[in-house]
Amino acid sequence: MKKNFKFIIINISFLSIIFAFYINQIYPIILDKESIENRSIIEKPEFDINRLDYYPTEFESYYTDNFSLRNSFLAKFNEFNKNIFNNHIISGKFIRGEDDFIFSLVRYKQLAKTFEEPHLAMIKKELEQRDSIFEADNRKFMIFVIPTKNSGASEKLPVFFKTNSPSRTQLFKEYFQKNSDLKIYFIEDFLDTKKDTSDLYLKYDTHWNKLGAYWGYYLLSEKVKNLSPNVKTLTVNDFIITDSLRDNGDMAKNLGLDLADKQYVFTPKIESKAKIIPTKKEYKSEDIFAWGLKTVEVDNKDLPTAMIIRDSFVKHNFEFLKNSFQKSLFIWDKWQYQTHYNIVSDMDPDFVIYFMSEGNLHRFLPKDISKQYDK
Amino acid sequence: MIFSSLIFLYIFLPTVLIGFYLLKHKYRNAFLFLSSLIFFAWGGASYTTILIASITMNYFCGRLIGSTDTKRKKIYLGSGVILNLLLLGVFKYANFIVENLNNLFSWLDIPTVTQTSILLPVGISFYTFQAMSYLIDVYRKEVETQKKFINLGLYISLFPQLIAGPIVRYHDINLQLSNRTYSYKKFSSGVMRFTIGMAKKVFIANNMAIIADHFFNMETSGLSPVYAWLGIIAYTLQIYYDFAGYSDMAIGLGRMFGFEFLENFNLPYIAKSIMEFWRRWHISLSSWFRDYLYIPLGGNRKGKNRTYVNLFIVFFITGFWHGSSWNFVVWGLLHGTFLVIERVGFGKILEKLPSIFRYIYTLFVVIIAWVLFRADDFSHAWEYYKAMFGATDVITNKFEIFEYVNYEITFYFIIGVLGAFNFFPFIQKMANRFFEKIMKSTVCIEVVFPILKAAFVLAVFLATTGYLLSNSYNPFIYYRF
Repeated sequence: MKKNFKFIIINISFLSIIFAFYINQIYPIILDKESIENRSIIEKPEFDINRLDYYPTEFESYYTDNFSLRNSFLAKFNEFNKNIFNNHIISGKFIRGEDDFIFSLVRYKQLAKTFEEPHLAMIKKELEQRDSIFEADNRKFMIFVIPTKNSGASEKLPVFFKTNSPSRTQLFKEYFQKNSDLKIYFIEDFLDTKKDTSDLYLKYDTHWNKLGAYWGYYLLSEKVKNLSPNVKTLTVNDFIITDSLRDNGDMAKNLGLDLADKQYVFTPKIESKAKIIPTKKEYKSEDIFAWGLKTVEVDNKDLPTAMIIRDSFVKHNFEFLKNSFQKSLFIWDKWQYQTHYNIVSDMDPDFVIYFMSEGNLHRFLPKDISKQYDK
Repeated sequence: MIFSSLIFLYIFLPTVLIGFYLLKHKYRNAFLFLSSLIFFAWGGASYTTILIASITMNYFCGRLIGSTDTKRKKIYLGSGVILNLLLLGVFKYANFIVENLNNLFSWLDIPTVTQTSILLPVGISFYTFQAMSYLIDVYRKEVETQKKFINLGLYISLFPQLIAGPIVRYHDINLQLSNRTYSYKKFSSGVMRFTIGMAKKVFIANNMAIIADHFFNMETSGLSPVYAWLGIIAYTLQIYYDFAGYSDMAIGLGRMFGFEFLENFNLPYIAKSIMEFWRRWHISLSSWFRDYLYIPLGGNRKGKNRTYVNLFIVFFITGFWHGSSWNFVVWGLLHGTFLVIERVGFGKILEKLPSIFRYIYTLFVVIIAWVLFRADDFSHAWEYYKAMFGATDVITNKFEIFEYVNYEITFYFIIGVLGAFNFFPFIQKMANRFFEKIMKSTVCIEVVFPILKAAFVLAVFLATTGYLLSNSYNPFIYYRF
């Protein structure tokens, strides 16, 4: 035994590791983390003698997806990538920037694919058509373009990710400024004037922080006020602003990392009188999830009404925007940015506002064309 | 099924090990043969019929060759070799032959024939060469005819070396088929060898592949010389660690089941000539060609000119063996040309030069030749050469290089380079000497080193599992041969 010690210890370590996962799968001794991916896990394929050549591949995909401790492994792997190797690209999905800011690599590549001019013309035609329909009913049609973190916090990107060539959004902006009178506002320029002293985006999340959201709201409110003077824009003095630690942003969750982030808390000095009321059932459709609709009322007949088609960025703006309108309907339509004419004609809003991320501007194109800008 | 896959590491291998060691000796070969067929079928069940047909055909050919000493013996051998080559020809070269014939017919204004689309069964080049080795060895009376179908089946299909070698010559393994030894020592050396091979493949080859693939997939017009050289150097490391890693895993697995395969690599990038390179690179293939082609052609016994012709023939076939594409043929001929140049007299000049020049010369030729091996076709290779030597308009994009060349890849690149130049065995040798002679203590060697090795096994398996879970990029390059 003593003579063979040096061989036995190697053999034992090998055998224990190749059997450990199998045993843990049957009798979970060490429990796995929750899934860190936004997708459903592959199910076990059915064995079919006629599909014998395909079964192994399908089974391997199933086995890999259901491997014992898979999520814990992935989380450790990402942590290793980020903290030990200090990689700028983490797991091929994220960019690690300065001050530990994390960015989406997919979004970076997506926005690097610039708009073709004929497609910009198509978007212009589509939006002008919508504008004329709304204008015929005396509604104001406005678009507020929220910069993604890659643009809004671009100063935090690693130096070699910064480029001098114009982004997709810049081309869009230049084109519309030159060729159209549509009310399209690009929040990035305004945010650039506000980020000297504070970060406006969350480190480990896709979205802006409360402060960034506030300045986004501020611009929107001021532009609405130009057309409807009764709207009052809340200033920073209307709030007590404090810091808090916020657990895991969506990117940290996707990486499986426990990372606390700084978040601002806006406590209104005067309590808001806005209240959420039930949204009409008829508004719900297959294109809109039940939780994609929210209606808010303020008891002030002097304020305008608005239908706001939004995306996930606007979840941080809700507590500011709810005070701006007598009645506001927030619609999250799964990034389709439709007109929802049936809802418009029923609700009769004064404003139809798209409050949306720059990453989704291509969604105004027909689906078959917009697909190429998703990659 | 590939070795560096979760299904192999955590289902197939434990199951086969348990079954193998629980069974009595007399059933072990049958069990291993069956396991090998399942292993093969996992990569394409329909191809298993070709493998079984090959085993059956070679079994009967071997019996016929061994049954007579008359002229018929030669006919049986010829028939067996032709059938094996036919199998290889149909499944590996039919598409290539038809494509080239069609090109010729088009040029001559003759109606073309329908293009074939036969898929290449994995490992066919390896197991066909092993089968031919058996027939020739029986013919030469170097070995007895294998009367047990299972034993011959096991020799041809043994899963550790079935997919990508080493090509085991029958006379090297004949006795082991019926009589093998098992020990803790042999098993643990197999474990270590397998683990080292897996680390080579998963950590170094796969990471180098990311760089090589990126630069070889780029538009060559936008490739600067630095990027082009980086791409081919990464490929040089990738192909070595990929193939040598696989060979290590095969040798290691073989030991776990009691077999001893011959070495397939011996630090090829420290060769001081192309001749030496081929004594260190894919040794099992070089030995096969030496024993079964070069020597039967006359080797170097029939004068200088005939030797050169023989070398060209061997390297033409070596290139063609690697793939049904002119790229591979030219790659083989390029190596053959340099071998002839060295034999003509350049070799003697080389011997007089300082070692550093000889290393640089050999590496330069090998790296230049790898471009042909990696490029999609001739025109791609030509464009890549132009990029390497600065004959293109250079457009650089900072983002692209930093996406791929990060700390992790740089780390593995350094490890890869050090490993290719024998750094780690040298360090281990120094450490052993230090503890044995200077410290006068064997405690480290007897206790500490084994514990470190056990920890290394655990660490590599855990890290590999992490990589495999996070990274679906895992094909073995040698699969396509």
